[in-house]
Amino acid sequence: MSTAIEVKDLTKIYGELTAANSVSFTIEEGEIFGLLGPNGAGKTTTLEMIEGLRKPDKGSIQVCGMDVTKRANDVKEIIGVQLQSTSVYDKVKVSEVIDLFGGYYQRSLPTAGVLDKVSLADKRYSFVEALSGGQKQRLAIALAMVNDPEILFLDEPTTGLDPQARRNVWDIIEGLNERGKTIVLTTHYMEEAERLCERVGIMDHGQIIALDTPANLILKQNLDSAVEVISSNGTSKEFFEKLPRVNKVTQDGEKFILHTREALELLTDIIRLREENKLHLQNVSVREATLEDVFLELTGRKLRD
Amino acid sequence: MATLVGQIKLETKLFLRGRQNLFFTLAFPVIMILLFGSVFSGQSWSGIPAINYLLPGIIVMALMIACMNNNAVKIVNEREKGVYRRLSLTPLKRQTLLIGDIFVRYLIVLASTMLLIAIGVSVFKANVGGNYFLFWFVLTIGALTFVALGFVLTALVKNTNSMMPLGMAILFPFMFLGGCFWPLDQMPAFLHPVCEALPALHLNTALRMVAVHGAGFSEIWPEFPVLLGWLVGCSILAVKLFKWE
Repeated sequence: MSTAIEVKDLTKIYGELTAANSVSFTIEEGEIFGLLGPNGAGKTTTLEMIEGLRKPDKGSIQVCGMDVTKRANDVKEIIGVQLQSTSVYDKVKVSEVIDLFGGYYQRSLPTAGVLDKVSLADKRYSFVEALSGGQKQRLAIALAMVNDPEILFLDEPTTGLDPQARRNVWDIIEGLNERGKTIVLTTHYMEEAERLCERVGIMDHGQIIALDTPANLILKQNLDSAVEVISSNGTSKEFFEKLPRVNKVTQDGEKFILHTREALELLTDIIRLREENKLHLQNVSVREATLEDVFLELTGRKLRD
Repeated sequence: MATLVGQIKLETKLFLRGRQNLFFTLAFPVIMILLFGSVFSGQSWSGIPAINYLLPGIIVMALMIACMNNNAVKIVNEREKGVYRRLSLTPLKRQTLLIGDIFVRYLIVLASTMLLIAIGVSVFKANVGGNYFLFWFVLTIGALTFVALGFVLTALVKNTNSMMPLGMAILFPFMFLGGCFWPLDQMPAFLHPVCEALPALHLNTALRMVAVHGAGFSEIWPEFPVLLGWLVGCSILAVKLFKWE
């Protein structure tokens, strides 16, 4: 497998804010790579530098072996981009705008085929302004694939969509990947990253703080499983930390996540302690550790904050 | 070249599909010529029938609205929506986008001018003569000048909501002090220097001299320094200030 994207030491500074701080990573051809992070972590800035939309202050970016800052026009021919808030002309019909964008490239896919892939064939004569949120998002993805690009950049492709529309977009992304396309996406949604991404990079404060497959990230953090307890009578974090078998506690308001390797035994302990200590437990549940836990552990924040 | 043709087709469609565009650049000038033509019918201004005076004035008004106001609002709106940002990720060249925009503005000016002349001549018996080529040449200089001024205005505002009032704040004095609706000699003397500095006045005078008095290039030449000054000045400012994002 060869390298699709190689980013080295990428830095972007806006006044006081270092939006990207020495970011380095490599994305292989045919991979679905996810950038995760809270708002303002630098995901979009990083993506936009790779796309050639913003000039980095420092560092190098190679896309399919081409230096983005030097061969921007050649790079544009082989990448497709869906921006976070893409908006095209309003008073234009769906098929017209796809035709139009296709005309910008040396090579482009037939409009009918592109519309089929994003299930917008029945909307081809609709004005863009008349589309629903999910349809607009699929149109944005259609515009990103109109030149049959090697690499697609999707910036929060499912933010603001209902579960059904989100699943549609996932199917489109998986379909593109099956045809060998490299996909780089950013997301707020852990389940999205876990389902789609072969590898994820977690960003916070402009830096990549972890990068691996979702499974490895969970393994590495030693968060085998979690017991979630919602306690409403002011139980302290220390109380849970002192329990046997508890490796670590993360608190999110009244919710305590107890990381443990022996979930079942811990659960039994908690139920026993509940009676002894008159704990007011509203809810207790057990689940396998997820990327969300990894994220909370690494950044101290929830992903959607 | 194919992309430019595509861009021109798109811009034309977008223009025709916007009711506001059609109203302000075509219907409104038509209403104005019908209204003013009827009200001042039979009157004589500066020694010529009022309609002969008004027709070039309303042609200039339509030109300013199409090239400056309507285009500036269009550009700011597309910029605000992130259209240019999205397009900058495609191989489309920015000059193609600009040439397409200016070309369609020019088509609108030609259309509104012909429409107004047709109404002026058929309804109000306006006299339009002179050198057609020279008339077209002056009109072209005027169109380019106001397109350039429109581009400058887009750089001064953040969004569509502030573009509209700014455009109006420029258009109104240009119309009223620039001789679109009444001759300079009907205005107080202290305003004359202001009027003389406006491109609208010189565009009006040049068009009127050609269309009504059959003037040649040597006679309208004195109108060009100010007009060309605005064209060159606005073009330089537009290149310096224009923002795509």
